[in-house]
Amino acid sequence: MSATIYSNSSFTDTPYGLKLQQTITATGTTSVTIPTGINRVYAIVIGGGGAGSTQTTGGGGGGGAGGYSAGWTWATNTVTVGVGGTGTSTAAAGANGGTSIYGMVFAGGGSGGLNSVNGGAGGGATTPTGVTSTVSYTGAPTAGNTVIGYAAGGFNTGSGTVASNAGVSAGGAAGGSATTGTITAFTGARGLICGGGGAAGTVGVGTGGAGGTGDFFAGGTGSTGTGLLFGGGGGGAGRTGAGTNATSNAGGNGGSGGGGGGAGSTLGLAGSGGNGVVFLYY
Amino acid sequence: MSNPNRKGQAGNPVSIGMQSATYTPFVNTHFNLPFGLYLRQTILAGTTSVTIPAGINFVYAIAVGGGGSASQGGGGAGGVAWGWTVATSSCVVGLGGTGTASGNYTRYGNIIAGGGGAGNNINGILGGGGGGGNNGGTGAFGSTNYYGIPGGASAAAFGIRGNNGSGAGGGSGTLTSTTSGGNGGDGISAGGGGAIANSTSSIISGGTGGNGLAGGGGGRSVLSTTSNVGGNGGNGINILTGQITTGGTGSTAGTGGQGSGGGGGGVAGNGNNGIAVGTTGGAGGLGGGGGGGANTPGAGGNGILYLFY
Repeated sequence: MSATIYSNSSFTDTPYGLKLQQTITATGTTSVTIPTGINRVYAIVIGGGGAGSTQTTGGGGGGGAGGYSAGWTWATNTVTVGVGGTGTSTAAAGANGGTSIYGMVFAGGGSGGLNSVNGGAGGGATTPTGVTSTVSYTGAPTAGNTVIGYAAGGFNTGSGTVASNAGVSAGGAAGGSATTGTITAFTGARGLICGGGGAAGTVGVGTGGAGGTGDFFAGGTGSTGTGLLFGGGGGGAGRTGAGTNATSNAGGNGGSGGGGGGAGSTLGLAGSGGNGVVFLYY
Repeated sequence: MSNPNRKGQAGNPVSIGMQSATYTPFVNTHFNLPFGLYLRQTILAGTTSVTIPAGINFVYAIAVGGGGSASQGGGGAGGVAWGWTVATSSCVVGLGGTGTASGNYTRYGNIIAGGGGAGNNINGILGGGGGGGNNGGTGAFGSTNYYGIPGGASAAAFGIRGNNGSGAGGGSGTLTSTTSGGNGGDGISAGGGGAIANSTSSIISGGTGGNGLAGGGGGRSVLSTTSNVGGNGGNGINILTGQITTGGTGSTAGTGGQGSGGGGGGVAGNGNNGIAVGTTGGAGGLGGGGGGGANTPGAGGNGILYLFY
């Protein structure tokens, strides 16, 4: 028996014309039913977003967006959807997002905001920890601090006033370390899915950075006001939902589908990352 | 009603055109494009939104980042990325670098390409070619691209050619001991040529930009008392037609003058010539060509985005 790529459609790599058949949002490992006769599935797999961080004084950094991977895989009845990192009001690095997997398509979570003002990196095929991202599912390279990438790097305050860590999965934005005066934290960068905004913690006027605006949804706004109970960063946009707005000195949550959590300030509750999602086309 | 374009599953048609016995793929021009699809939209730099018809869930995109601006060395070419992505109404199409800045990235959905590095030893980003070296500076590194194809390293010594790669390395600049700056490496996105500043009676020339889908810019040449020849821009290739896009020609000047580098060819346009009587490098061609080196650096060519469905 012989087969050629010209007469056997299973050799094609095009997803063109396929329809979205299933969207899996339940986190953890669950089962999925694929109809009999469907041997290959085109999967878009998104990891959970990283949580923002918070600091005892000043602002924390936003969480990075979850990884985004797409491709053909054999059909399987098991799927894993990564949970977004849970934000806390403890001065520490934010929790990383969880990995999502369907068949041989997988994506890491976003890095949590660092235990500093720095934002976390966007997720690649695996989950980064810190400002440097991981290699993407396609093989696109890692990206360091403030560098764009398929999975973009986290953001450091030392590199300008405009977040430059855009990507498919954008990194989290940096907060402000100063505790007096008027402080405006950094805004999450543009991406298909986005990182959270940084936070400002000051006795003066503090403005948290907005979460990054994505291709499908907007990021949440930062909180503005005078005193230490303001300045939280907005949540980053996810693939299936908008980031939420910051409230007081607490960060907004990342949008569903991998948005990074917004940062908190002065021990305000950092925003949680959005849960991942898996789309199945066949 | 079933979807007439549904594909990918065993037993279903791959492509309406390619499955038919009545078509001969290589004489039907639209088969030169991915899976027999048509080019539907060409999107230029600065555009942020697109309209995709209802029912189109996936789009095949080719994204080209902006070329790097020159400095004394030529700018690296913008990165190129291609593939299927979920359809979206947003896009980012990067401008070419100006002054001495690197080019900007281009993204549609999950297809993303970085900019070329500037011609003062700046590395390329996400598939971008490395910038050429300034006088006495090594060229920059090209970047690994969207698919993980490695970038080329910078030149190993002064006046030496950059290495090939998906984003190629920039040629090295030089001050003495040679008569030309290093050429840019070849690749998908080529490296910029290195500059030269050598007080000599010999004829000297800036490094030539590397060749690729998008070409690098040529390097600047100064201080010869006989003739200073700017490096030519490297050639590119028009993705849609397969035709060469030519790099610009470097200008020539005598003692006290400057040979300005030509701009590299982009994927959609030729590079511009270095200006003969002035001090301006040639701009890179549309679609990521690197700028030519000069006192007034040539700008990188803007990025471009093609959408097929």
